[in-house]
Amino acid sequence: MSIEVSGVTKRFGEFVALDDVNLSIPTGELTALLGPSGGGKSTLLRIIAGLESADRGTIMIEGADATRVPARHRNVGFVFQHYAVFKHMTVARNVAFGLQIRAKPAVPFSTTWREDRARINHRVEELLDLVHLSQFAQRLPSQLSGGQRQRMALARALAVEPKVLLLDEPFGALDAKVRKELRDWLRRLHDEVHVTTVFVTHDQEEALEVADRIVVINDGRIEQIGSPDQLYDEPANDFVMGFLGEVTELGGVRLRPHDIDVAVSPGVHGSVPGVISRVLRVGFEVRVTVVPDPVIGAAPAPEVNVVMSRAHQRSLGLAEGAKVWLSPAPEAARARLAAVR
Amino acid sequence: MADTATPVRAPSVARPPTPDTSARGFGGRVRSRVSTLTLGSGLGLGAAMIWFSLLVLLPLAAVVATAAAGGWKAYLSVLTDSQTLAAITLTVGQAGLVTLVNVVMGTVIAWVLVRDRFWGRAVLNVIIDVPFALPTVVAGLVLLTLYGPTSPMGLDFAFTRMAVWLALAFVTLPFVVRAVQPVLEELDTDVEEAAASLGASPATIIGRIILPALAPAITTGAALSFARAISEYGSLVLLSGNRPFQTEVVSVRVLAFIENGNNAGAATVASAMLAVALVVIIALDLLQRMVARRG
Repeated sequence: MSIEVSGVTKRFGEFVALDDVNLSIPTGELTALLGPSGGGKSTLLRIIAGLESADRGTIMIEGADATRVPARHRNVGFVFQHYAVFKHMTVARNVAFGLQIRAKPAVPFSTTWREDRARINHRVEELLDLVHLSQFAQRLPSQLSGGQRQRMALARALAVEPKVLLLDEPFGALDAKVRKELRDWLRRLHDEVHVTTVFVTHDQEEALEVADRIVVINDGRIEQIGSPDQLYDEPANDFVMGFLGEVTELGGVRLRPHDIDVAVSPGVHGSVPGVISRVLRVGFEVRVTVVPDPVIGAAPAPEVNVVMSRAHQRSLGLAEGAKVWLSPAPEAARARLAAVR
Repeated sequence: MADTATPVRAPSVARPPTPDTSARGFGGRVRSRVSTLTLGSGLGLGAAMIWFSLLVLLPLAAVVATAAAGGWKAYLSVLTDSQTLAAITLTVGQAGLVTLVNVVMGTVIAWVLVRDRFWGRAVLNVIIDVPFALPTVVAGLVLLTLYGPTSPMGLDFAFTRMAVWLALAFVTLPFVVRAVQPVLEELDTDVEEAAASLGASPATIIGRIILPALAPAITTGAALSFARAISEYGSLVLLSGNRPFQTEVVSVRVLAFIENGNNAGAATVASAMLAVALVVIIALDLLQRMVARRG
């Protein structure tokens, strides 16, 4: 285990940011800390980095107790949401910063000095190549776009060969398109570099797409830890299920809108009859809202949201006002039903 | 300037044919791409230049002209007069010293005001400006009462060079503080955290991250503080006693020239001080560029 968090509690005044959190992060994996804003995930990341101290509990990094070790001795790479660039330095010198301050002081123009410089320059070139910024080496950060700045920040953090790489909402300040590109790129980079990486995000799509493992954090507590598939298919509780994707209710059961089979005739036993009140097409998918038929003697059931492909909607000929029968999709049903209390 | 203010301009012939899209603005006005001045900004520039000329350029030119009227010989003879030379040395020396202290203390005060939270911070923040707001003669009177022969603290600096330094330090205190404060407020703490996570010690963070970022602001403050110090009069006349060769500063010396009807002499000393100020400001700028690059 690369990072071992045990019994960590952190308060800010009356507010409990983290409440007795225990977590192990395996070596070489890409782990996402996922949760709503203010849930404590950033605080946990900052405590691992040593930028914040825990009120109680311990942090072990690669087997060594790091609880009392200051940030600068933890050898942890940290990437901030707003890049935290050194504005007065060129891109190359930003990346070289960690290496330069580690270099032993040497007499300028002496042999050691020259060797050090050559070594640092070589490493900086390598890193800039890795993040595709070679041609921007001599520019100032202010001349880069947001995505480029974040790639520079990543190269800077990787320069010191950290034991773990921590990213705090790394793509949060970027626009949707760049965010998606950088996400793919981060995944590929991690496959190349293999450094243990933890990143914080509130975007479940980002976590599902990039991470090997996801840790869902809410209200200062861990709700569930698992692979993206596990979390999506077997959510431990309502919160995880609701946070990882859309949820709708059918016949007293909560499930995902795309896990509902729609039929135009009463075929399956126990299917719920209803009338389509709205059909909304968004790109390739169609969102259908169904009002279940009232059952005599029972409270009116809530509207059911169903998501299907455009082609499927066409083949069934679904339109507003049409009569349909809804049933949970068989292969997903067990997981859904088991998850609901 | 007059022709930029002309609203309608024929498309420039030397330029490649401009497509219709360049003819924006009211009434299809066609703008040349040679200058970015529009009617509004042209008027603005004109007004600024006239104002600046009346207030600064003309008086400066007059000073230099008056100083030069007597020729090199008269010019040098005024400057090499031992009493004048002593006044210039004292003023520049004390102003330099005060500016140096301000650079350190001003930055520290700005840091405390921005980064620390303590009781009375808001009050301190307002009081910083008092040396600005106080009429300088009143400041002189206050200093004389506190540090003169009747000092309640038993600190008598009257008629010494210390008095000059004290008065200059008092009136120039806000410059560096007020220049550094807004820049420091804009400085993100995550930049410092990033440096720390890369292994930088607090000293390295200050030297290579914070100071380079503050360098332009500190220089601006230092230049203002130095300029104010070499021209200060009101706050130090009472406490320093204006003793020739001892505590007489340039502004007092210039006034003496004028009172004796020697306007050329006054202008000569003034022009020399102008040169000193210019050299110091350029030197500060070079220094700032060096620090900012060092980072």
